[in-house]
Amino acid sequence: MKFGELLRVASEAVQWNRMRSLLTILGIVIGIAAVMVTVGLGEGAQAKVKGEISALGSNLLTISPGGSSAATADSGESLTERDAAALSSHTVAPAIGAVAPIVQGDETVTFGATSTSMIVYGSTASWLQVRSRSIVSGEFFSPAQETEGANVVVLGSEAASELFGGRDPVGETVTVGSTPMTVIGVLNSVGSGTSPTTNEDDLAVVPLTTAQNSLFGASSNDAVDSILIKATGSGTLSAAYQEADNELLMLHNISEPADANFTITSEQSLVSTATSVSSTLTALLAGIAGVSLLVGGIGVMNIMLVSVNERTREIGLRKALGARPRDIRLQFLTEALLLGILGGAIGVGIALIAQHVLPSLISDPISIPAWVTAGAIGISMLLSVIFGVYPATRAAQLSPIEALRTE
Amino acid sequence: MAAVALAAVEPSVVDVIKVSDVTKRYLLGSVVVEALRGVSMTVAEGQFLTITGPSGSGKSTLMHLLGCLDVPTTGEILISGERVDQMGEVELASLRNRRIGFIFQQFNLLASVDAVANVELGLIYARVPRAERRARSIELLERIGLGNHLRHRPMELSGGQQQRVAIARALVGNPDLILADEPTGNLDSASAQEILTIFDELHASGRTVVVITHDPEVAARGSHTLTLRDGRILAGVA
Ligand SMILES: Nc1ncnc2c1ncn2[C@@H]1O[C@H](COP(=O)(O)OP(=O)(O)OP(=O)(O)O)[C@@H](O)[C@H]1O
Ligand SMILES: [Mg+2]
Repeated sequence: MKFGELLRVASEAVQWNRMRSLLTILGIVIGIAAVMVTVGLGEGAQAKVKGEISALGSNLLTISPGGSSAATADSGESLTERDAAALSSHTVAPAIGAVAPIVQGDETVTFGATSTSMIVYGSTASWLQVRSRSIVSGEFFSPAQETEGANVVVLGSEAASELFGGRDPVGETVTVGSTPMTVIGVLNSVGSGTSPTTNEDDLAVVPLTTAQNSLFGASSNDAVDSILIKATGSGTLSAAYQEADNELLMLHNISEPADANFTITSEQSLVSTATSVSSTLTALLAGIAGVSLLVGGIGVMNIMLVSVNERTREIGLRKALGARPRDIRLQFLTEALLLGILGGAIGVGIALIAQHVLPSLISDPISIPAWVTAGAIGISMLLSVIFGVYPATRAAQLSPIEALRTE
Repeated sequence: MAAVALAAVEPSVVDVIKVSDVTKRYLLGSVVVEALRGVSMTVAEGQFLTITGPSGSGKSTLMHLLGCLDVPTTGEILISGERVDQMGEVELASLRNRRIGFIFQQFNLLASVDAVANVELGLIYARVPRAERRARSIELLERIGLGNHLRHRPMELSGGQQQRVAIARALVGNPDLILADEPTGNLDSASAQEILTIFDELHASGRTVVVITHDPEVAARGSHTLTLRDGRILAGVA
């Protein structure tokens, strides 16, 4: 039998038993839709994380004190302002575009009767550039203000609205910890950042000297909590990493890189961590959905067996008229294939609708890549053929007399 | 009734059927049922042979062997000169397709498709192109008086009409042999007469026809008659 002929016979059989065909493919429909939505949720979450991280500036490196080995893990105040200054040199580190040493702590900020707690960062004037932030009102502190330790503060947008409501805070005086400071600027709003625990809008930035003198107290060796560096471009990120690593090892008199008393992390590594976490979850959920697909496949086999039983007479007749066993086998395989395609297509349709409807209900993005759609159809076809083999073989092996005898 | 005016078949020296000392045993659990106990017969081209006998005498078993639906336990069967008793399933299928047209008591039409599609079924397995299949099926249905029922499904046809569709299906491949097992068993007497008339016409046009029947009246229509009892040929011309 030619394929067109097979397909015609199969579609007649499927149409003739519309209701049963529909029930047969239900398992596949649900399985395919579930797999696709699950993968779509995973992909959506990854895309979201990636988007947030790239909004932060992906050519950012963070140097924190403490190495990765047990011996160096608790190196305490191993990073200093001197390190930051050295990395700022273009001759030492040409791939590094900007450097911002950071000290930080939680402080209560008070304006009038309103007070709120937030993270206060002490840094240099280059913080703005390193963090890829901008000022929406007023200005950031100047290098001069940083050197002299001026009592000025720049507020995050959320911090500003918490303290001042809708009013422009620039020029007002707030109390940070116990030190009165003048608000000179408000940062742009970036929304919640990479980590759900840090709100990038609920913060205050003061000059590093001011933070050391008035807030957290200066340590003997000008230690800082971290150093942020920004590569000149995303292409020079690894060069910047190398330069920072080499320079700090040298400054700290460490010959073995394994003994380093600092750790350099990139936002990129956060991306891959976030990605790997969510892909584990995706794999798990997809596995569960895969099991439902398997059940769908077994459903196809079950109904195909019933179909073969019911159509024993038809099989006998076809054999009497000259159908070879392989003609019968192909006929039922094609029928299974058609059911698979049908189930897959409906499942894909449901998943694509869910992609548009669900996010507004569960506030999670769903992004179904094209390869998942193609794969879903492919899998449902494969599944139905695999589970169609046994019923089709049973049909092919029926003896024509026995088949014709059946009432 | 439109005459089934088929071109007269050229006579040849080879018998359409030659059966030599055929036995057929079935194993029912541990019980051996001897359905045929040594049957020899020939059917010459153009014969209208009727086979009668009481229930359980082995008529249907014999027809299955003549129709290449099954192979004998022992003995030789030649269909148009081809040894079929040793053939495998695939060869038998091809032989049935080319040489034999079946007509069953229960019509055995596909319920889901129309008359034309039922008639052309065997031609699909003969790899006849679709257009030719359709044309041949429609032509036969018209000749057999169903020109106005081409698109009817079996459910929409009377028993006699259904059996005529089945006859058209048996004839469409131009077989050497037409085999019918109780073709009028499920029909009222008027429809039965119509069908028997068609068999007469087939015989008149030179077709080789073998009809199995309980009905003495049907048996009398044949040019030759043969009676089976307990798996043996009792009497008749064979
Ligand atoms: N597949 C089978 N397995 C076991 N026994 C069988 C089988 N087919 C036929 N028989 C037995 O063989 C014998 C002949 O059966 P067959 O069907 O040929 O009789 P028949 O003459 O056609 O009878 P009827 O007129 O009732 O149709 C019976 O005893 C029957 O029970
Ligand atoms: Mg019988």
